[in-house]
Amino acid sequence: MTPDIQGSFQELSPRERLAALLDLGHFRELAGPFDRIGSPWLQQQGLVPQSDDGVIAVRGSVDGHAVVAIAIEGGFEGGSIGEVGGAKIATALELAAESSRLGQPVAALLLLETGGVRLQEATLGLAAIAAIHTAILNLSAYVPVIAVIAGPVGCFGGMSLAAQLCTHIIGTPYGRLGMNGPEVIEQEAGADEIDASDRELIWQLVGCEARFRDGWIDTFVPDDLSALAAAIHSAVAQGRTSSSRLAAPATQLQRLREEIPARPQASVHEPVSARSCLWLQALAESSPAPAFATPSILTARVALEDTTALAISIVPDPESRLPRASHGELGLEQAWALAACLDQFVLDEQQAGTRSPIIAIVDTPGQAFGRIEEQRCISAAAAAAVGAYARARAAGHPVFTLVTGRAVSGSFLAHGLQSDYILAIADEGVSMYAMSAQSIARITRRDLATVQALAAATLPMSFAIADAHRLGVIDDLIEGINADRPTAEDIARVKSCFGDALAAWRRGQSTRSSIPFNPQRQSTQRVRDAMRAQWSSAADAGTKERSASSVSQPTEGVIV
Amino acid sequence: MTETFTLSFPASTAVLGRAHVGVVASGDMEVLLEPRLQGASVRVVTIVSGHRKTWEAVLTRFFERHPYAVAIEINDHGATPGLVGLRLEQAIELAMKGPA
Repeated sequence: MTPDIQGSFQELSPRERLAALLDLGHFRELAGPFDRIGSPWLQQQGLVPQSDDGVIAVRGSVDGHAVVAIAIEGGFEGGSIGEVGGAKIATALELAAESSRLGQPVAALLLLETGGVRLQEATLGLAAIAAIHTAILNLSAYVPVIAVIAGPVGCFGGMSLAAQLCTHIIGTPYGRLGMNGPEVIEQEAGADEIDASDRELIWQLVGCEARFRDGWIDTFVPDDLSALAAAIHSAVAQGRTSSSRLAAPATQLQRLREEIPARPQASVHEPVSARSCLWLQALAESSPAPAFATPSILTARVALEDTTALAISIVPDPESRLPRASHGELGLEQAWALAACLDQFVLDEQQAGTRSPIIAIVDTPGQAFGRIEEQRCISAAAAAAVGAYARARAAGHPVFTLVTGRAVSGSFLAHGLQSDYILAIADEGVSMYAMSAQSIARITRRDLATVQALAAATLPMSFAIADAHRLGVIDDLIEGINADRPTAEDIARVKSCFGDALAAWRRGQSTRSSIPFNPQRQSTQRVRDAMRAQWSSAADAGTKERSASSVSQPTEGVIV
Repeated sequence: MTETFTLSFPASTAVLGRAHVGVVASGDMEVLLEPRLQGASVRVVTIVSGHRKTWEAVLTRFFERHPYAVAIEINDHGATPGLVGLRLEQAIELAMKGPA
């Protein structure tokens, strides 16, 4: 039976939520628990996997409109996104886009209850979330993609960017939407920045009511199934739209500057020494210049084969008006400026009739962790940058990435992971991770030594760039380069890699539009194969049931 | 570290379909249940090692009361013996509703 349409949403299990919100009976699970594709990485860390990896993907309908719907089990590993669950979400969205492109529109409904990347499989979680971002943007060209943030876990990390990329966000008083969880901010920036135990403050910052007031979610309804169902039905019926939340990055940047005063100038200027800056200068034809008057976003033109690429770096700005983003982090100002500069470039190139490559140069300590950042919804700013890179690719610009130092979490999602080809320098200072070991220890309630030992023993939890390469998240690793003092030969070798990537891109061999095959990611492949095989039969089952007059059982899994 | 073991019990009553209940969350467990022709088998993966004897006692008692021919997989995150019985009964109840 289906639960009564009246009542609380947040108290239901994920399958009950889907059963309550989708049309009765039109609901078939894809890669469900009996396909037994759990996480291959948890048991070696002493954790018990779940047979659906905590992500439930179904085909069904809302008011007769075909939808693919995702629900996340917040009780399993905090609703975190690992290899399998992430592949499930990305594949569901990709299959919906394929069907929509062929004239059979399938909208998407994402019931987001997630802390973000699963720290125990961080590299693959990040890669999957990047694929989810791409898939949401591709699908939203055809149909509504609706996020619901209504559960006790909230929606955090890279998945808060995913929510912001959706065409609609619906929230309830029990939902929270933020990039960095309060505990992580306290760990990274100190208790003066935020007191994670101050519940009232946290809700004022990231609660859906505050988000709605500030325009960061589109619809706010009570925690009531009928109200949520009405909001979802209305969003589906509305058809394809685009949200204005991320539409005007230059205006957002302007507003930020008007509302937050610049800090007094420091008397001593520390020289900027980040590798992102150094490599931009090394590759550039001329001196790098700030984009949109943002000293921490530098761009320069780089000669590449028969064309000239635009290279972009996020660099430290000791005088940044937001101090949490002064060491090269991706903060509010950086993210909006990045989006604005990419949009402008694509527009200029469109007018000139050219589609030059874009190169993201990465050495970023991460996204900015701070109270003001959360209050002003850094998730939206970072999502705008993700969207701008994706639009550039959709407009026909090849996007490449050069990792010269730290490739971290949300900043890498926003600057580097929306890319056709990722090249990293093999060097001790080059790494990829989702969170510092100290923060992982705090969030997963383990001691630091245990976290470090697990990171060394678990491929997707490793901080080493060579391991990210083994997992296929980094396409190429270039050895024997002096990352701090590149020689002319080093620079020529890096350029030659991008030259080869450009030639491959022109031959149509871009591998990063979806998750590439990799022997270490067989679970990803199993998810994709199972879902693709079940996709059509799930649609057939739905059609048959629609024509039958009797109401059939929804599925297994609903506890009666 | 996790502990994994499989236990067998005599059973012959048929169930009509399969069932999935519960979640691998603190103090809870996930159950996958499928029909079998004869006998019951239970594969347990648990985060709490060293309690195989307790599992044997709880499951023996369960199959004495409910001698269903089923293949069960349990993914356990520290469920109490009381909850183990409850989740298994929920799974049987669901499986008796017929094929999903």
